[in-house]
Amino acid sequence: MTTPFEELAGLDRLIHEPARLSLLTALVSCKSADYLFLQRLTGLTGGNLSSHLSKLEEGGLIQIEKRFVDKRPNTQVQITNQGRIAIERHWIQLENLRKDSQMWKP
Amino acid sequence: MQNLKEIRFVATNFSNLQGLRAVPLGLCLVLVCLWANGLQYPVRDFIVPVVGMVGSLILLFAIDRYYLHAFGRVQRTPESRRLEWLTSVVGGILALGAFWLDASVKLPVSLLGLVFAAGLLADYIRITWLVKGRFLLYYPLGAILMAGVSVLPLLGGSNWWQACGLKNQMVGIAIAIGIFTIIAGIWGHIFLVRTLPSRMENK
Repeated sequence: MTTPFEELAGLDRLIHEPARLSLLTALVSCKSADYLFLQRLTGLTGGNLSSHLSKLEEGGLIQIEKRFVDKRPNTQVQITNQGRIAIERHWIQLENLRKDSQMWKP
Repeated sequence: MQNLKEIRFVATNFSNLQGLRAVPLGLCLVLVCLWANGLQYPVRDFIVPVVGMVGSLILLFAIDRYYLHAFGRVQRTPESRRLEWLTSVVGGILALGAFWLDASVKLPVSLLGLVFAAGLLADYIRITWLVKGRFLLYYPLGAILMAGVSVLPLLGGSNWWQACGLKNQMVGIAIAIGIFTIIAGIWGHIFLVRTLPSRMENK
């Protein structure tokens, strides 16, 4: 039996960071999305978005594909199977924490 | 944007929220209906529907480019595509059947309007099916209004189209569909702009 604090500490920090959680939530809802859409969705600056995407890519949660569309550079981002499983498990953890928190006593 | 439910909704229904794409089609429908309403037989001049269709296609292309450059690109999941394909095919067949019945049988209701209302409800269920939440309430609202207009003759409002200066119920219903399409398109676009603001975080 884990304590509430152990459960909180057990959350994956790579996913739980608000910007990365928003990015993964968006990416799990579609097949792929481009850089511009993700930037508008999160409101992050270009540098910050790149940094978060790189961390997610290093963690194997997303795939980044750089290509040209109509002679313009276009960055397409797609969630991996590992990322899909991780974000779904994260939501279950959050939901369980929410339920458990109602039984916590001061 | 902070709300995770809203993020899921926008990412799932990004193409449906590009409402301005529907505006040229709505405008074209209203224009062609008004042209048809004032027709004198035999018809020799088809300039209005041709200009309307070409103009709406050019506008549609321009709006498509605008969304691509201002909001980016999202590819939908196969599940979402399948649902849209299914509702479009079933809706299209039902609309054709309703149009044929409205044109060939004198009914106290507009079947075309009722099918459009049912289509709006089905589309609303489709777009909120994968993401639960109360978004785009103009869909059910439009369905209720359209169903109301469609059964007006049955409720005592016979020949309401004549009061609007229109020849028959079908023209009236088609214009109502066109006007709704324009309003819904602008509404959807406002929702998209509000949920995907162009402002960035402070550096």
